[in-house]
Amino acid sequence: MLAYIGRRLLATIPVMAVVAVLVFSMLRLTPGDPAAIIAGAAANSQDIIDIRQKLGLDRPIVEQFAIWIGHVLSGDFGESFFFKKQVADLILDRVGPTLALATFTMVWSVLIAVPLGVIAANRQGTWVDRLVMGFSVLGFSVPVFVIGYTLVYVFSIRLNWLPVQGYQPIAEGLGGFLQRLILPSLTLSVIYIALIARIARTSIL
Amino acid sequence: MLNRRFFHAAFLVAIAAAATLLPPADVRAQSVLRVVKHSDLKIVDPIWTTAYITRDHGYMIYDTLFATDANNQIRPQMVDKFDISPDKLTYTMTLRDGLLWHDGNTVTAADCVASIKRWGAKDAMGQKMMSFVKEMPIVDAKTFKIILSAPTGLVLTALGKPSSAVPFMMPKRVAETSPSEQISDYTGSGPFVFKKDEWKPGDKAVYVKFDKYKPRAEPPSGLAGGKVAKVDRVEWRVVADQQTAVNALIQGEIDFIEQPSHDLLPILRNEGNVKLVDWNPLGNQYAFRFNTTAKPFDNAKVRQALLYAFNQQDFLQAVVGDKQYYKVCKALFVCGTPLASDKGMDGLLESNFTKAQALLKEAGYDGTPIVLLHSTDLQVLTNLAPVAKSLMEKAGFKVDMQDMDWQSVVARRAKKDPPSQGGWHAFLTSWVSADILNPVSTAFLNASCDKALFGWPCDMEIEKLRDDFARETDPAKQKAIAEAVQLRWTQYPTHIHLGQWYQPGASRKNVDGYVVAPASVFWNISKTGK
Repeated sequence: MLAYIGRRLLATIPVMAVVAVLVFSMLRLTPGDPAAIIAGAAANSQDIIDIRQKLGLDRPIVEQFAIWIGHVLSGDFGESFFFKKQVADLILDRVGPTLALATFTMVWSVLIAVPLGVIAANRQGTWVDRLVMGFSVLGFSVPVFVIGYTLVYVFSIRLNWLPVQGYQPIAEGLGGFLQRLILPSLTLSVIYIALIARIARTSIL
Repeated sequence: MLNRRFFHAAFLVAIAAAATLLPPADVRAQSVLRVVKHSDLKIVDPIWTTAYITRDHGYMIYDTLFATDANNQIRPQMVDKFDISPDKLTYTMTLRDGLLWHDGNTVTAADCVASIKRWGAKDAMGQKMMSFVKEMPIVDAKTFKIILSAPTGLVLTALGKPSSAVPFMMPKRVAETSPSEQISDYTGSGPFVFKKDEWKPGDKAVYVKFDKYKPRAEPPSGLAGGKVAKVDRVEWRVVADQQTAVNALIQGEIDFIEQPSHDLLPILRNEGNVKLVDWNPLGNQYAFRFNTTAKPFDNAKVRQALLYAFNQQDFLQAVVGDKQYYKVCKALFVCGTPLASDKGMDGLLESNFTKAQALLKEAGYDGTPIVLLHSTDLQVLTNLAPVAKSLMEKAGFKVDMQDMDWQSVVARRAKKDPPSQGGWHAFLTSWVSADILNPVSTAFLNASCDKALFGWPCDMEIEKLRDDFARETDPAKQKAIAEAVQLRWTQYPTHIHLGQWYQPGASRKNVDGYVVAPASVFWNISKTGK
C-alpha cells in the first residue's frame, strides 16, 4: 500500500511540473503588463520601468521562471505585491472554507444519495422509484445558481432558518459554522446526489 | 434504554450547539456596522492608487488638513487656523491640539509636510500645486508654511480635494515611502483604526473606533466637520453577487450596500426594513477615452467625428435604464456645479451621423479597425462598449470590440503598443463627479503628452489654459478659463463625456446619519437594535 501511495505521489511530480510551466507561460505570455497593473492608473512610464526592473520582469522569461520555481520549491511563494501579505498566508486563509465546503458537500451527497438509490431500487417501478429518478434528472438539469437562490428564498427569506451568506470559522462557534455551511454545501451536493443515487440504484438492481 | 441514552445525548449536543450560535459576549456588546462596498479592498495605500475603494479606506483611517463640505467649500479639518499672506505667496497652517496617531504619538507638522510631498509627487492636482511650491518650512511642532513661487488658487482646493488621490496625512516615517511603492504601515489619525490582523482580501476588512480621535466641534458637512464614530466596529464584507447581497440586507445580515445595481432597486424600494440612501448627489460621469497616439485617433478630426456620432441618452439608457438615476448633461465639468457650461456644445452629442461621416471623409479615415476594449465584469460599465460600437459603425467606423475583464482593460490601457499588437484605440470608464469639477482635477484633460494619463493627449493650448486656471484665484475668471478649456476641447477632444448617473445606497432602516459626500464614509452613522 505504501509503495502504491509512493508511486502515485511520484507520478504527480511531472504533472505538477507541466502545470507550473503552462500556468507561468500563460500568465506571462498573454497580453497585459503586470508592471503596468501594479503601477496603477496614475503611474508614468518611468514608474512602470522601475517596477519592471525591481520585480525582474525585464529579464528573459526562462530566467524569471527559474527564479520563481526556485522560490516555490523552497516553500517561498513570495509576498503579494497588491495585498502586501504572504501568498502562502493568502492561500491558507482559503483552505479552511474550501475544505469545510468540500467535506460537507461529500457528506450530504453520500448521506442522501445512497438511501435514495437503495429505496428506489427496492421500489423499482413504483411511484417512489419514479420520484427519485425524476429528482435525479432535475438535479442534473437545474443550474446550481437556480438551486442556490431557491434554497435561499425558502430557508432564509421565507422561513428565516439559515443565513443568506457568509462564512464563520469553527473557532468562532460551531453553531455559526454549521449554519453558514448548510445551504452552500446542500446546493453544491444536489448534482452529486443525483449522480450517486442513480449509481446506487443501478448497482443494487 | 438505548433510545433514552441516545435522546439524552442528542439533547445535550443540541443545547451545546445552540450556545455556540451566540457570538462571544464582547462582540455582542459592540455596535457593528456591516457593509458591502462596491468592490473588495485589495490595495491599502490611497496615494499609490486612485481606486475608489482605497480612497474610502483612506477616509476610514486617515484625516486630511482640509476637506470639502456639503456646499463644495473648503474647510479646515486637521488644521486649526491658517493664514494667507497679503501677497498670496505664503500659507501658514497650524494643526489642532490633541491630534494623535493610532500608535499614540502626536501628529506633527513634519508628518504633514512629508505627507504633502508624497501625495504631491503622485496626484495630478498635487503635481500641479507642487509646481508652485518653493518650500515648506516647519515653524514648530504644530505649524508649517507653504511658500509659493507664484500665487495660485490651488493650495486649499488641492489639499481639500474630496476624491482620488486625497491628500491623507500619514506619519513621517510612512510618508517617506517612495510614491511608486506601497506603504506597509497603516498607522493613521482618522476616526477608525484598520485591523490588519482581521483583513482577509476576498472576505472582509475590519475597522474599529479610535477612542482617542478628537473630532472637530462642528457638525459633519460633506467630508468636513466633526467626524464622530458612533459605532464600535465597521466591517466591509465582500459579497460578490448582488442578489445575494440584497437578500442579506433584507434579512438584516448586513446593514448597508453601497452600490446596489439599478435593476435591483425596485425590490429594495418595496422592502419594509430597507431604505435607499442618496449619499452622493453629485453622482458620476461616464467617459469614452481615446488613445491619441494611435492612428486614426491621432487625428483630432476623427475624434471630433465621434463627438457628433455619440449621444448620451443611448449609453445611459443601456446601463442605468431608470431615468430617475441618470441625466443627459453636455457640460464637461458636471451639471449643477459652478463651472458647468454648455459653451461650444451646440450640435454635439446628438448622433448627427451625416456630420460625423463628413468629418471622417475630410480626415481621410482609411477604415482602420478601431480596437475598442469592452469590460465585461463590472455591471456599471458592461453595456457601454456595445452602444459605442453601434454608434461608431453608424458613423462609418470599423470596430473591433474586444471582450475582457476590467483588470485586463487596466493592463491594456497602459500599453502604448500599436492597437494591432496588443495596444488599444479606446475604452470606456466612469468618474466620480467630484474628481472632474475643474480643468486641473479632470485627469483626462491633462494633455501633457507622455506625462498625461493613458491616451496621452498632447496639446499645449489645453495645458496653458490649465496652468492659467491653476494661477487664477477669482472664481469668475476661473469660470471663463474653464469655458475656454471646454471650447478648446471641442477642437481637440481628449475624451467624450457620456452623461451623468446616480447610485443610491441601500440601508437597513435602523441605521441613520449617512453623510452626503462624494465618498461613502462611516462616521456619524449610528445603529439602533440588531
